[in-house]
Amino acid sequence: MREYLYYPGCSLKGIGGPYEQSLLSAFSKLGVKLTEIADWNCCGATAYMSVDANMAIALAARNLAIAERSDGQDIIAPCSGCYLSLTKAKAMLEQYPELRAKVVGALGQASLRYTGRSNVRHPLEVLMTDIGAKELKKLVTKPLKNLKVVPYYGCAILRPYEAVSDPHAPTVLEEMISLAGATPLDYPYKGRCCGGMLTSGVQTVGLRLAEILLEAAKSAQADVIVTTCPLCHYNLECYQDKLRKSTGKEFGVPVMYFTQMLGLAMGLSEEEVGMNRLLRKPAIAGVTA
Amino acid sequence: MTGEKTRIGVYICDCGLNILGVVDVPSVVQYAATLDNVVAAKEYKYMCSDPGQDIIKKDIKELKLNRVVVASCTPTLHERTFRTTVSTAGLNPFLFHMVNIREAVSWVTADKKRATEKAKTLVKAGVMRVTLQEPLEPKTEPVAPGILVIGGGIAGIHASLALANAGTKVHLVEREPSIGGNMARFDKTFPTLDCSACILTPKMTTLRVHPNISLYSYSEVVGIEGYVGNFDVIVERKPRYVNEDLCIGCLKCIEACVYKDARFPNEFDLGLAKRKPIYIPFPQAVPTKVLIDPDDCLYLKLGKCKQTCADACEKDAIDFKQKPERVNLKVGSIIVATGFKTFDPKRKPQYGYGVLPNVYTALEAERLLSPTGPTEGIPRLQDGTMPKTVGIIHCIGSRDENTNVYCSKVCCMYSLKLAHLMKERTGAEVYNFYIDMRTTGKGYEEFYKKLLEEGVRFVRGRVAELTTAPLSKGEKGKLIVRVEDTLAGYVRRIPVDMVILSVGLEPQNDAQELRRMLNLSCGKDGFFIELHPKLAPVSTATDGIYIAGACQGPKDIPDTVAQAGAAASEALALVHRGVVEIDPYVAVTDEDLCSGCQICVGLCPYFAIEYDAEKKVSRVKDVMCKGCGVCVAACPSGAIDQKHFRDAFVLAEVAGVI
Amino acid sequence: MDKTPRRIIGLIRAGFKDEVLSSISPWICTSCYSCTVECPAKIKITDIMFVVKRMAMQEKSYRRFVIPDIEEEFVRMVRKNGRLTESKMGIKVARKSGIGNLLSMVPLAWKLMRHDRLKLFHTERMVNIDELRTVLEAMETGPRVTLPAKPPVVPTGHHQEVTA
Repeated sequence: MREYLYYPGCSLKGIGGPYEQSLLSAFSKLGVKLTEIADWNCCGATAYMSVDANMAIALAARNLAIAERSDGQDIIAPCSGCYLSLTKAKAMLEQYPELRAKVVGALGQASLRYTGRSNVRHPLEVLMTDIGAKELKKLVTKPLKNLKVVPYYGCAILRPYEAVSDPHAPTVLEEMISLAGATPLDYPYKGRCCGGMLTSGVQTVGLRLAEILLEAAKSAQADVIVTTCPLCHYNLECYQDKLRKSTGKEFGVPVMYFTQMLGLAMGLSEEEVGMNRLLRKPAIAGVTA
Repeated sequence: MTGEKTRIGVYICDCGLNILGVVDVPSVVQYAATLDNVVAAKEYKYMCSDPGQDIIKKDIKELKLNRVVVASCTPTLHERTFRTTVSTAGLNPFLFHMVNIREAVSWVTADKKRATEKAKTLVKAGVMRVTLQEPLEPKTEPVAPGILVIGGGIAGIHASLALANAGTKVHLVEREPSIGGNMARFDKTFPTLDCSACILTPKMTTLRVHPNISLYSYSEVVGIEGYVGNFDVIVERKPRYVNEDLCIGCLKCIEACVYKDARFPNEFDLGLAKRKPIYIPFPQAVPTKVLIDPDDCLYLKLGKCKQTCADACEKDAIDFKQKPERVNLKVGSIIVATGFKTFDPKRKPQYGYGVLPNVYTALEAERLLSPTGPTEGIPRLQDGTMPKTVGIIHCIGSRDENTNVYCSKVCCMYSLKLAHLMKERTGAEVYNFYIDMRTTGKGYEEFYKKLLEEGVRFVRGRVAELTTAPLSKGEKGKLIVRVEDTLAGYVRRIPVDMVILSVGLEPQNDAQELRRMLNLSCGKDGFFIELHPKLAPVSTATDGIYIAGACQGPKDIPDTVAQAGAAASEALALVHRGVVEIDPYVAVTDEDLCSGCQICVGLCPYFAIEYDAEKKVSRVKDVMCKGCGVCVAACPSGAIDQKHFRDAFVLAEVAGVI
Repeated sequence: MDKTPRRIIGLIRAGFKDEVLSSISPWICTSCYSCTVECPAKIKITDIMFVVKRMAMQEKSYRRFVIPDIEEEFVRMVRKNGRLTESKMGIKVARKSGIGNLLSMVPLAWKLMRHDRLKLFHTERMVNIDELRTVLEAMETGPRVTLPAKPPVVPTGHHQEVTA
């Protein structure tokens, strides 16, 4: 049986709840064991790096050190932001020996060992690489027929590390949408940033970014936007009312996680993948109520 | 030595302050005078100067010196100088030895004490070596009278004509069915806006009829062996399925082809137009002979066709049974002028080439602007209408750590030229998106000024992306250029109908394969490398092989032609002298010691050792030996030694150092 | 953004420290890394933005944008509990951007609570927060590690030291 370590990150325990729920349900259905990393801490996101780089890296590295205790199992980090923070920390520790020495020393003070052998991976890449499109397709019992889906990758899983897909012409999410029986749309902003924390910090800029993405989804006549990150999901889903007030445009585009999409296609129920926790559910013929 | 007493002269150079500033030259001179067999030890400010050389010549005559050592700069610089000095005074030049106390001593340390010690040590080693050196005579070999030119673009054409006019026999091999290269595809050339075909075709036709030039078109060089002055070349002539001697270029066969319409992408028009399986690449092709593509022709592919082309041919020139033919040539020197290919913009997906409509490369734009091209010189969009706005994006693939680091030199100028032509032909609004404007040649800056006055719009900024996703009504249906206008200080979205990508230049796809055949080196960017970037731009490290044109690096037509002329003159010099002088550092086998193991034969990178099966010994072929020393090191019996670098000499130097 | 990344780099090279540290551009950078991936000179532009933010924070020379305050709140919460509680964070952020903003977030918060996405009285925290504190405090002792950043060209004007 395949086994992975699971790093939820603060968001999946918060507004990203449906992501965690659908991830665990889908992986369980696939017969894959996910073990949550014991007593994990916040990855630092982009905020800590803006305050203190040394600390930010040590913060992320603690999680990697804990993961090492599980004998080389890969870490799955579903939140794209966490995925990037952890991957970046690992890369910087590899690149800068002086930094590595300091961090290893600090971790050692808490009896934690870091050797850099744990790999950080995103569940989208894990599903399409370790299990593969062919195998996944075999498990699809309820193809999401005629569902027009916007493949929205967001920025963190595409840049600057290219392990998930080619940043200029990514395909892996479209492949998953296709194998689930749905139609991936030709979307010009697949990898464009959703605005991250800007909707909280500088709302004018954040809302404008969300508006551009939603407008393009509407033009493409999308039934739903599929995302890979809880912050992207939040920005796209939760401000559509506010945008209606400020721009007069009605968006009404449902946003869901790719794990929910895959789960439904594999025959899981709406409850199992947390569909009712979405503010706006997509209407999928023969699948959703 | 034959019993004559060794009399060595040692000359230490100050090199101004280069050496004297660090090494205590007078004490080295004093030391040298104490060494065995040294009869004269002198110091001079600049040994390589005329007065410096005179001192040596005088001493050779008056002091009857039979060995000379000069301690100064690197032999790469002046060994030849001093060898000439010494031989002018009547002494064999190989009885001279040069010791490097500048690049190896005074230029690598500031420690005067250690520098002086090292200088003394090296001088002693040199003296001990020179004592054992023997006189040698350089070898001469006759040179084959013909010259091979590989590549029939403007560089190859010009070089061939220059050589042929000098009375030399030239063999020009071109792998396309016609000569002309990339220049034949251009509409007009910068900065004069001459019609490219009009200035090129006269040269092409002159070449075609020149008695001294043998043109092998639709042919490739498949093998080269030999060495400077005597290259054995194998040329493979690809089958046209048309007898070149009979075809008169009337083109009746093309009309008669069973395919009523042209259906296959035409290579000359970069796939923008179609041709039939039997075709001529372009109207002014040289030679004006037809050819058949075996992958497209029904008869050659499937064996089923009425062969109407053969019926239509009055000269009975069509020959479906033609096979590739090999020709052996013997030439004295070779000029490589294989040109360039353009950067494939698919490697930069942000510019949408091949995905978004109406995005063309500069070379494709040339075909659209050319009167013999698919749109007869009036560029149109894919829906047939004329573009109202055109964007030309500079630096595609160039000046980019992610693709090619170098600047491709010609793109700014050709982008300006295309801007002018697009505006002239279509009346469109033209934007050039550039980073820097590199217009360095003669008349180039003036050309830029002209464009500025014509109303072409210039935006200084590297285009971030091309998109069709509109953000406002005016952008619907257009290609939107997103760019930071650095001069105006704003990020702009500029809607255009058509985009031309100014792609950079790269070496040909098979450049690496070719250069390995010729034993040439290339730089990091893949372009063939010249012997010296400043002072030897057309010769290479392989004697007898010259390079010219864009295969050596991106360049415009004036520089290409100049370089082709330079290569022609250097290639000619070799052939004109009729003989070639070989460095006498050849390896020699002592047949008594040779055990016939043949280890050396396999190791020699120049195939210069042959095994005599009768006598069961290996023997070095003097003329082909380059003196690399691999065999000397490898021989387990110690049967191979190298002239001027004999084991005894090297060991004497080592003894001097220890 | 008031100054594009290109302009920020130009100002850094020319030594215009105040103009750079008082620009809002680094603060609205979401580190999407588009610039770094595109840059033909392979300059780590995103990392430069982080450096500017850190410098501005250390020198307290940023104008009163709300983002630096938010980030400091983030750090405080992580050091206290080891993890972020999004609802609590959301309240703190909204408070900083003005009472009007706070009130306008209420309908959304209510919706999220009804859809089981927000737990108002729950705090996400680690069990062994002391272990994390040990690590962070150990990082604070001793000199900071400066990450060498190969400058794109030799800076003109007075030299800017890049520290992590």
